[in-house]
Amino acid sequence: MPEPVLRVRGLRHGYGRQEVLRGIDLEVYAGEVVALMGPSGSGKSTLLHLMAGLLRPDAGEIELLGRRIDHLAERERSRLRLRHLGFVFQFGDLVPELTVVENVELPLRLLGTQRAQARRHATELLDLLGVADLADRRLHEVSGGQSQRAAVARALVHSPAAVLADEPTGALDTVAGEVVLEALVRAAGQTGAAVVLVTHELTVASWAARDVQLRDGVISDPRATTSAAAGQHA
Amino acid sequence: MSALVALGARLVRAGGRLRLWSVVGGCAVAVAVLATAWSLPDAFYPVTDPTAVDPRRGPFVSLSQALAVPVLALVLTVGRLSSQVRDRRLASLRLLGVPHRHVAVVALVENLLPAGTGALLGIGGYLALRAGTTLVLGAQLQAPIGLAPARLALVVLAVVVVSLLVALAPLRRLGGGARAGHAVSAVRPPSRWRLVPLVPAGVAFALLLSVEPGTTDPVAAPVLLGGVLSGALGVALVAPLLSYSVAGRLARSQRLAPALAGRGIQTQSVSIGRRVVALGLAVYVVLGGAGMVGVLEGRTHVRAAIQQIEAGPQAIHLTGLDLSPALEADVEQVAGVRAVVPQYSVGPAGCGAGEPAPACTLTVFVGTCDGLSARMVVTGCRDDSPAWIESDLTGYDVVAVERPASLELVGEGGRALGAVDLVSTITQDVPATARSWVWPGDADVFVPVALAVERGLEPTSALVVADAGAVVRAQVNDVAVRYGAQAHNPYLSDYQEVVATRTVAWTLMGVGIGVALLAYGLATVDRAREQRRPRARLVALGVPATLLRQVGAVQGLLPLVTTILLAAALGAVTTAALSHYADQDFAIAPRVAVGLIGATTVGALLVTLATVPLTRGSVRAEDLRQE
Repeated sequence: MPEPVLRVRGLRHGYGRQEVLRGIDLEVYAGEVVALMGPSGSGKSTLLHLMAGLLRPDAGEIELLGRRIDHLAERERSRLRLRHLGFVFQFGDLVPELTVVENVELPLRLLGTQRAQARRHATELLDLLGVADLADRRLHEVSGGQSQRAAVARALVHSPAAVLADEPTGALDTVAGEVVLEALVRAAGQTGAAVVLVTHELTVASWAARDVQLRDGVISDPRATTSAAAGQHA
Repeated sequence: MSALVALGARLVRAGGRLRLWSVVGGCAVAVAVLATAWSLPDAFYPVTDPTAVDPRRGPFVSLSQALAVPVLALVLTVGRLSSQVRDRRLASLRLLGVPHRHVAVVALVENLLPAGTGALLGIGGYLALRAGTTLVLGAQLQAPIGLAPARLALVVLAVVVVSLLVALAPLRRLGGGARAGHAVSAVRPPSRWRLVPLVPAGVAFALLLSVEPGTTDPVAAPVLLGGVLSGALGVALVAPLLSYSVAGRLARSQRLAPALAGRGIQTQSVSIGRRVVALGLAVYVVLGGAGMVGVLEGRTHVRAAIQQIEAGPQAIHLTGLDLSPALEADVEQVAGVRAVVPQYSVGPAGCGAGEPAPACTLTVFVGTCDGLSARMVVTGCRDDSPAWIESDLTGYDVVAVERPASLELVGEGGRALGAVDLVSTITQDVPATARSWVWPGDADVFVPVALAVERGLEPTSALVVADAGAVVRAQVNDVAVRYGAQAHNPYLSDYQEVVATRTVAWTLMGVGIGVALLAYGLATVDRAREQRRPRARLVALGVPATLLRQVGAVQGLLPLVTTILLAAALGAVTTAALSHYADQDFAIAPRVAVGLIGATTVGALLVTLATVPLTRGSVRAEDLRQE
């Protein structure tokens, strides 16, 4: 049985008196694409942020690559996030001051990779995602879909163990959304990264191997908490 | 129309509480400060006779008016707080198809409510300031502080109108509607046209520097005013250009922190520049104000007063008695007294009725060489030899007098004392004397006291040369009173006026810096809040907090430092021109300039540090969601 990339156990979290997550168990394995679904306010994004170590849970455990992260200091969680996770937000959220390729190479630069090597790697990934010709453009010079593909490249450039995507196509039309998802799943498949997609769209969820439905702060189908084919991920 | 007004009223809180209360508070402070500043000159130097206006009123009025510059910057700053959110709201109205003029109505209403409320509250602030100022400076006021209702209404109206103009300013960029606020990544180099105000400023100061020092030129005042206004405009407009230019070098850095910071400044150079504009203007204005105070204090008689009272030595006059040896001995015992010099009433003969002889301008000193040395630095003095005192007074306004070998003298009441043969010469070291007393010694003839006593002369008063300070002055007076005499330093009244001028000037300058720091603080807090979301995204990526802090520090400090340096440089040029025109050396002492710039910079750094918690807090869930 392989170790999951991400594992949460008994996770509880709330905002003020309102408890959003009420005992979540979930495992995500390398190379697996998991869709977190549910109505607005069901706690999808909160779960994603908890798994990324951005928020501290009220109770429960979070493991990244077999190591508990929920009790680590912010600095350590940040270091693990930079090294092992990639993020894609709804609007890309690239750094507006940087060009497309500078955004993509940013995680590598932060990890200490030489500039030339980081640039080469980033350009290759942009090429893989079909936006290499936009490398030197500023963000206001590219479309939303192109920007989102650059965000996918940024999330994958440092070969993370998992990519966490929060409504990655929420701001795109259907065609552009399909292109981005196809690029994300294909590129993640090539790097072996696990992908967790937060979405409320069935078409987006159809790219996932497993759907995890959140409702009233719990996973509605307990069988979805771990991969049925976990053994195949060895 | 009512729908637009209602919408505008609903949008009052769109920019958040910080913007709402900042506009209210900023306009209140603006009205309170401007109204107080306008009313102070009439309280300190009222014009009762237009032909006899106190010469200090002019600079005081200028300084009060100069306060309008940082106050204007404050109104501008608070009006542009939360501009990203506010501009997006207005742009979305344009997207909906709301005509431009209707959006303008919404923007006006959105701003009028807090600005008008603040301006009205400012009247209360003015009344409070008036009471406080009267309480603190009441003794120096020559008339009650007051402002005619019409003038007060004008101040309120002006502040509200400026605030409304600021509120309307971004609307011209919403013409296209849809893309407003979206192109945050576009590098917008500040236009080189921003350099234009430096041209008239440079011309004006060059003209002033080319004028013959000390001459009165009717064109000089308007030229100076034009130069100062252009200089202030230059500080406001050129600072972002300068920051952009320096940031360009950082952006090319191989290191990530300076490169990111440089890019950030380049893309937002104008809005970042707006954050520090008030501080730049404050530095420029206070340096100009300090220069003006310096020029006022640089006049010779004022310098002499300051020298005597602050640095010493001081000359305390004992009058109202015939000096007795007992009094002299008692005064000499006072700590800090350096010498007691008896004064004799002696002058050249033939200076009564009719055309005075040239020799009548001569001053005769009767005493000892020690007594003479207490008042001036001399060489060649002998206690047994009457002598001419030779002084190189080149540059001083004096009449050259023929020096005969013998001089007829008269005492008090014109009593003839006979002639003295002036067979030797004493030389006064004028620069050394001026270093102690500012003025050179005023004696032209030295008559040994033994000779005076021989001819029946007695001292009529005494001069006490003492260290600086009020304590020694009071103690000498205590002794004098015991002997039925009085002690006073004639420069004391001049010095008290210096203190009054300083108090008012530095208070106004302090208010200017305070207003600027307030504007800077609000803008810094606002920026920190606007940056929470993008910062949270970077945190989510795992960007180290240290890197974010470094980027934030560079983005905060670079515009601050470049703006303050630019303002200091322009302020120095302005002061140099003013000093030259007034025929003085550079009118600001280095320690004063360093103190002013240092206080502003340190204040800004403290304000910046105070906002650090806003950027250091852990990521909040709402920061990671889209609006």
